[in-house]
Amino acid sequence: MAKKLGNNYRLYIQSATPGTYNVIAGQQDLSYDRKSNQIDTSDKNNAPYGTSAAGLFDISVKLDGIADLPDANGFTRAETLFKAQTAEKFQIRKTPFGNSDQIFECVCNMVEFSINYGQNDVVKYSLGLAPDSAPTVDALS
Amino acid sequence: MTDFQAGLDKALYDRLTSQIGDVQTFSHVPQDKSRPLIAIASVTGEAAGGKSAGLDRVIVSVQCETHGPTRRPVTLLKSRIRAALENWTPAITLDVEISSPVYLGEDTFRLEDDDIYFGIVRFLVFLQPG
Repeated sequence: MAKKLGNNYRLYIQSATPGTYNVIAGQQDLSYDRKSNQIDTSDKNNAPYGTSAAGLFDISVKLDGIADLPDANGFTRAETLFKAQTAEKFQIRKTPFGNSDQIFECVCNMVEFSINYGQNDVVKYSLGLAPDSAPTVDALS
Repeated sequence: MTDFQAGLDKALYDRLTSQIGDVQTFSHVPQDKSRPLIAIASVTGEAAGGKSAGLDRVIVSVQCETHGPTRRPVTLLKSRIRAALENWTPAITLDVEISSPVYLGEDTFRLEDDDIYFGIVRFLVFLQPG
């Protein structure tokens, strides 16, 4: 067993050539949120505890980073696709970041692409992804 | 019980010695040792492994010292230390798994009377049993 370290994971975006991916430069925090909507299955006999069944999964990916440009194949490709409201395939890869190191792969829509120009600070970006279809790879181990 | 710091010290010593062969590296600097030199200085750690422990988050400072009329030799030596350690992938050493060092920052200062310049370069690593 070994405890996993966050620095060993990066977000990649598929290039115009399907099956090839490029890392988005300047990455800091990367998170993958997974939760299931709850379906209330309680009736009067369940009191005092409500019961639930798992509904549809609600997943999202969030990446915060420092703009490190030029990055035509990473940041700028994502920015262009965001403005075109076009979905693309993304991967989260673990070290050593080879073509078979993905732990998450999914066609996603970019639903957030914020940039912060803070005083006395670096230019930061925040990228949010939501699935366009079910992930094809989705397991940390 | 794994001695995390012993593994880290040895890995750093071996790496610095192999990458910066013309400047001697010490874990403990002998008295009156002439400059330039590199020393593995302070190591500050904290538990990061949760309830099952087994993971430490450690900030290690590597110190360098030069003697002379200008600051340039110590800034050069700091940059060489950074190049040697930043994003290097250490092998498991004395049963300790060491993450790639992340550069955190550095300091440079001078002892007024002796023309001795000090540099300190700080790195973050995670340690766990290998």
